[in-house]
Amino acid sequence: MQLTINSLSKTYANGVRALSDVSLTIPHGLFGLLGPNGAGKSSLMRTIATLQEADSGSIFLDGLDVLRQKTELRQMLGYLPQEFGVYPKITAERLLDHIAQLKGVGNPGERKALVGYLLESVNLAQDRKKHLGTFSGGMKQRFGIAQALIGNPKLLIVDEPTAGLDPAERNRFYNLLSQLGEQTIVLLSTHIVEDVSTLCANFAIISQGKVLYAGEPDKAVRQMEGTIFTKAISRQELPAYLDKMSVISTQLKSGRMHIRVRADQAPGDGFVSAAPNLEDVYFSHIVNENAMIAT
Amino acid sequence: MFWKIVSFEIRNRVRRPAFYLYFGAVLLFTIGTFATGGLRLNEKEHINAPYILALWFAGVTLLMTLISSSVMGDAIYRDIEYDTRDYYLAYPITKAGYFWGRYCGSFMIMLSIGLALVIGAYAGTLLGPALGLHGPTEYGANRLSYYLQPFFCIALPNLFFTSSLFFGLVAITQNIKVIYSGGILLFLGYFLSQFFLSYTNNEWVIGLADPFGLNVIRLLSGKVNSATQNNSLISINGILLTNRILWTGIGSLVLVYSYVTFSFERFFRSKDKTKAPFVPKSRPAARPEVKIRYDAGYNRQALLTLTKTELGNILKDQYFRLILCCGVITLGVLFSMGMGSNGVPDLPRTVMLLNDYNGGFLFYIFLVLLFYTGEILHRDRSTRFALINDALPMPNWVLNGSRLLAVMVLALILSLLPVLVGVPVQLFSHYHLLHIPVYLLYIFTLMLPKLLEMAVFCYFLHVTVNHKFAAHSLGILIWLTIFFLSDAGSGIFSYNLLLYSSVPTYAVSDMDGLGHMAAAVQWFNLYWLLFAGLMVLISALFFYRGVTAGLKERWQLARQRLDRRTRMFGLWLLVAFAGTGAYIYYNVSYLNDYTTSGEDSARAILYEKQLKPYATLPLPSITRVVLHTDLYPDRQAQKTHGWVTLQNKTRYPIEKLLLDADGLTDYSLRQNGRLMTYASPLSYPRGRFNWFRPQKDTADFRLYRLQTVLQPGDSMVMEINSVTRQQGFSNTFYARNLLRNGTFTGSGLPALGYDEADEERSPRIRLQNHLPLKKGRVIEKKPDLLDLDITVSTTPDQTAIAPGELVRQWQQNDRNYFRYLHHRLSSAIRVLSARYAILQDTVMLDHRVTVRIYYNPEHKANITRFMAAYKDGLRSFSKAYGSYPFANVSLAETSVVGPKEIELCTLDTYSEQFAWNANFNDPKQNDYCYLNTVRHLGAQWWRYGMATDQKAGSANMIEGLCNYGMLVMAAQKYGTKNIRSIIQEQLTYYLLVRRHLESPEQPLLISEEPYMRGKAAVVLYGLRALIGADNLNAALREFRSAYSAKSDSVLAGSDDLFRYLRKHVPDSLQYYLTDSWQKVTLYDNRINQAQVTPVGKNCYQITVDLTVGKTWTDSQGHDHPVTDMTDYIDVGVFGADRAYANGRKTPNPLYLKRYKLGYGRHTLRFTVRGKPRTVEVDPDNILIDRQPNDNIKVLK
Repeated sequence: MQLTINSLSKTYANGVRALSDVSLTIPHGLFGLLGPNGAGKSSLMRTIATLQEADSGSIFLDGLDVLRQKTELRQMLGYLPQEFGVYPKITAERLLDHIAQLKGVGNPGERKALVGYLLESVNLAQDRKKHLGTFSGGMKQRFGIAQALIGNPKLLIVDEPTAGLDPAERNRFYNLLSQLGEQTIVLLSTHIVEDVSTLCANFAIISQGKVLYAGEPDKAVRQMEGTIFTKAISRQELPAYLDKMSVISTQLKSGRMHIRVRADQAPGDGFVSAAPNLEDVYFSHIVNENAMIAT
Repeated sequence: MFWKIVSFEIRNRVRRPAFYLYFGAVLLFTIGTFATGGLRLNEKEHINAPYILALWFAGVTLLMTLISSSVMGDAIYRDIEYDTRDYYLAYPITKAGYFWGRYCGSFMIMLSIGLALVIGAYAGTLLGPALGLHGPTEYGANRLSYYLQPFFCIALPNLFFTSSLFFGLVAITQNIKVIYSGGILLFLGYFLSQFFLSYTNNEWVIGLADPFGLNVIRLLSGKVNSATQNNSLISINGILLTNRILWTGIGSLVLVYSYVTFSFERFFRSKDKTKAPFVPKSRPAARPEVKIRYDAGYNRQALLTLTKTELGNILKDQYFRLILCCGVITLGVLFSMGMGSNGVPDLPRTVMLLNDYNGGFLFYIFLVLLFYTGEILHRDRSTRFALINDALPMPNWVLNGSRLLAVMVLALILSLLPVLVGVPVQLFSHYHLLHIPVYLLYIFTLMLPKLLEMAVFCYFLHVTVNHKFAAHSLGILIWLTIFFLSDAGSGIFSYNLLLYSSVPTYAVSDMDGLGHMAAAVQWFNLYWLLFAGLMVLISALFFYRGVTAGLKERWQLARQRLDRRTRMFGLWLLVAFAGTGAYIYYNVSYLNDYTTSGEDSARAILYEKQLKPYATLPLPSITRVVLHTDLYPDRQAQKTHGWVTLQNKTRYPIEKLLLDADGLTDYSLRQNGRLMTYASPLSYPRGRFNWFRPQKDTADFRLYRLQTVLQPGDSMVMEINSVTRQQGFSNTFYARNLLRNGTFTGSGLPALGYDEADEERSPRIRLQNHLPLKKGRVIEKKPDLLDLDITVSTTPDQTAIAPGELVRQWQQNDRNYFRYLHHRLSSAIRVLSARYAILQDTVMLDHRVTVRIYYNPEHKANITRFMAAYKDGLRSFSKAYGSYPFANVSLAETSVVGPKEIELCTLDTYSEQFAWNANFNDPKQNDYCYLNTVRHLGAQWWRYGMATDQKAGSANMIEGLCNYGMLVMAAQKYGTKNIRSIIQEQLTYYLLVRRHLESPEQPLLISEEPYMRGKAAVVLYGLRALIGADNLNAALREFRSAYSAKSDSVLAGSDDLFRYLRKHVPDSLQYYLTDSWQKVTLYDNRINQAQVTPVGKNCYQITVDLTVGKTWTDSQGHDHPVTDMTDYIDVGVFGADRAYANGRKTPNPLYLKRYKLGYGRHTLRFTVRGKPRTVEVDPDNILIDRQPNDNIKVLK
């Protein structure tokens, strides 16, 4: 199974160009969508999740025309939106049951078992009788995860899933996702690079509505080998370096500022070679994009 | 900081289209009103009179409650909804700065919108004359103060009140729905208070209970004449001032309270910030296997669960519960207070409750549906649950359908309110004729369609407009406009085919249910339901799923959704809708003749211009009528065959006759067996909507030329065949006189001659059409004195009634026949038919008199009261006024459709809603069933038992004599000292009207103004108190016997009565007769002070300081004190009321004496036995006193 996005574009009524000629091929397994806030990740995901129309382009899930055969796609979809609400006066169990019914789980007994299982998996079993209006942000997020997993989705879209989760919960969620990734396409958006490097077999970097890079994380890191250098500098020196070099990130370590630059050859001047990581890949693309816009 | 927030608020508002929408709506509404002058009560008032401006400002600010709820509610709620509260933590904001800044900013916006009132009214007064809608003389001077005073004194406090209320409510509850409930509760409260106020006469209660001051302004306008309304500002003192202070104060209190309780910390603390503790868990069991199906069963299940969840969301909403609760309470109060007459409530009959529900309460239903449809459609989006929900796999029609279904179920619940509230109210008042089938029939065939149409309208609006508040405002605007145009509102454009959800007017009655109107109403219901179907289809095309998007995207979606199946379905709907519409059109505009009210006026003008010349044609008198009329109540038809004897009693030969069909479908005339020919002197232009009717619609008038000229004194017999039948149905209530049960129709004869009553009355329209203004009132043409021989036939289950004596009744061809004879009939001929039960009795006077009560078998609560009234009245009146002139008298019940009460020769009728179902449950209530019936009985002597003229004063004389008889009977029933309230009732209307007369009052003897009737009765009653019953009765007997022969030439008028009275009044009392009949006289008596000193055991000495005053009002309206008066005036001392065994109380006079007192102050002293409670001057209220309330002093 494979999700193919072809030249997808979308401009909002206020003139913001949310997606610009986006083309991606997403195989099954976990696929990370990496990009800063406002990059168009959510727009892309909402379009795939049939919540929003595209101006042009196409999306196919194997032979299924996502933009036209919406109902068919929805039958295979699990979607966790980035920010969502719930009915405050309804219990978690009741709303999950309701959603399960809408996801085609017709048998009440089966539905009850499934809801029980999911609540257990996201650690809400004890809160199942509570009104959703009383849930904290993290609990609500876990509820969102549970509802996305109902009905064995073939395509799972999770938009910033770990926001609002504490580290332990985040780990548990990763486990859950990687299990699922064995049978389905999981499209995950995040602005945390680490999420992608730990989880995803494939990923894409997206910024200002454009795909800047798509590929496998390992391969991307490997391609950067020998081009990353680092140096500790003082804060006042930074503007000078920004001017003359391709600075991809800065980091404070025990009061000193460490900058990472990308260069084809060792720049000398106290710079030492460093092992590239996915963050370097990400930042270098984002920086390039911004630089291009600046010029 | 404060100013920053204010200016931020204002800038933010001004950028939004809602501001301009609101401003524009108020502006246009106001301009329209002042350009067309729709608010005036009479033509003498200026369209822009300061009083009118005040009234308009008050009324519109009441409507602006909707705007202030949206503007003021949003001011704080915005921060909650968009979670922008957090940002404020970053700024150094104080609570006061935030709270008052937001308030002031938004309130400024409200005031700016309010300014549209001033601008609009001013522009309207310029635009009206400019467009030629009104002459410049109809507008007064445009002084700035005329606008600013009401703006600052009326509009500003009103806006402040509603703004503070809504701002405060949201600040306290932090919930937007409080605004809906607040708004609806305000509406219901207003509705209820108006209802309660109709029960009280206390001006302060009426004036203060209304936060918007509308009642006070109406009250004050009623007290001054047009000149004052035109030229002076409404004075802000007394009740109005108190009202303004009271409600502004309440607004301020709410505001201050909400500020004090407004907690900045609580407000800014986001609920989501608390983290739940991480709970370690055991590894879950294996994921259970589930079957997933998306078949037809799935869709059904999904629809069900979605609808259920949606409804659950609403029903669990506490604000919804509150709103529903208040609605139920309002309806309960409405139902249990019910309607009533003369302070006596009616029994809670099912049909009455249903008619109650069908009134203003429907606005409440509409508001609830509109608001909660908005909630249903926007909830998922505003809570962002839509992001999950809309990506679930149910098809669009299921998601869309579930919302529609939820709205419709809501409509169903609301439509059940009448039975849910009505039945308990009925049971609680021990009324057991529940008529559940009537409830259900009404709910499912009349209310449910209406409410479903409302629901779909709200749904359509919210889907297509896709903005909650805009859709609310637009919905209310459209609904009000439809109401305004329709028959229920102004009726200026009532073509039901074009006004959504409108059906012909109808009434539900016990006698006839919905009657023959059912078919017409159901056709219109079908028509509008099909239209609603089309709206559902369009909603389905534009229904948006997912995240809010622009027009372009929705258009794109709609085109995608308009597939073959949808198109076919839409086409079918359209065909069905158009077909139903065509059929209705065929009925309304082809078979029947629909005209707008404007066209009706134009036709009346044409009538007057073309036919007025015939008004001078000499008219023959009808001297004998022999009629056979067959009623077919089941198909609204009547067939008449008759012979009318005409006699020329004029001095001129009669060649031509103008006849008015007056509702007959067709008729023909024969003279000497030969068909008479006629010309049609008038045809009307075709009605605007009746495209397929003839270009010229022949009007109902015919001009007959007699075969032989009728010379003065000659007679002729004319044979008449006529038929009345209804073809199809019309736009409004048709064949009101030919009901299935409760027919109340005419004789089937065309009317003779030109009828001035058919002319256009409105001075404005007359002026525009260059017709002279009419002076005085149109005096109804008096029926000819004739011998009647009428045979009425009807269906075998019904009884037919006509005036006269029932001489024979038989059955033939499965029909019931009744023959009535009447010698010298002097009333109109009316024919009734219904399934009556009959109560019959006889009274033996100098001849036997038969009394019959014809009633709906269910309505027997008060029939013995009517019977007692007739029997007592016949005995007393025949003793007092002379022999009863007829052999019978009857009372018959009519349906709610007809008039409340009608008086004919030997026959009275009361409608179903009057008297028959009065629920006498308190001994203090006056038995108006009895009193009103004896009043009508008197007319058999004075109106029908003698010949009276039509000169000014006669009408009031007859009414006065009838009402006088009623007072005498009341005194006989309750005791002479115990009918003060009944006497005062007679004068209330007179005293009210005379306070703001446009032209000075005329003496009773020559006045033809109907408001004088009560006065005529009281002065006769007062005379009786002065000269004694025997004297007065002798005078009345002599007067009557002089005219009872009913000759054509000897007619009684008020001056004749006066002559006979004068003969029997001693010289010492002649002043009273002159005062009451020939002059306009008012007393100004009052008790200033009274002191009590105990003298011995149970004895008290009382010293009274009282003032006696009397004025004559001359023909110019100037008052002249009568300083040389010495009149007989009663002074009395009363103890505590005594109670009769039945609980009714009666005054307890300890001292009563008639003094002869002069003008000015007097001190009287007397001793009484028993503890005194009040001192009273003229305790029976028989002198007409300007201010009767100060005639009593309660002793301490």
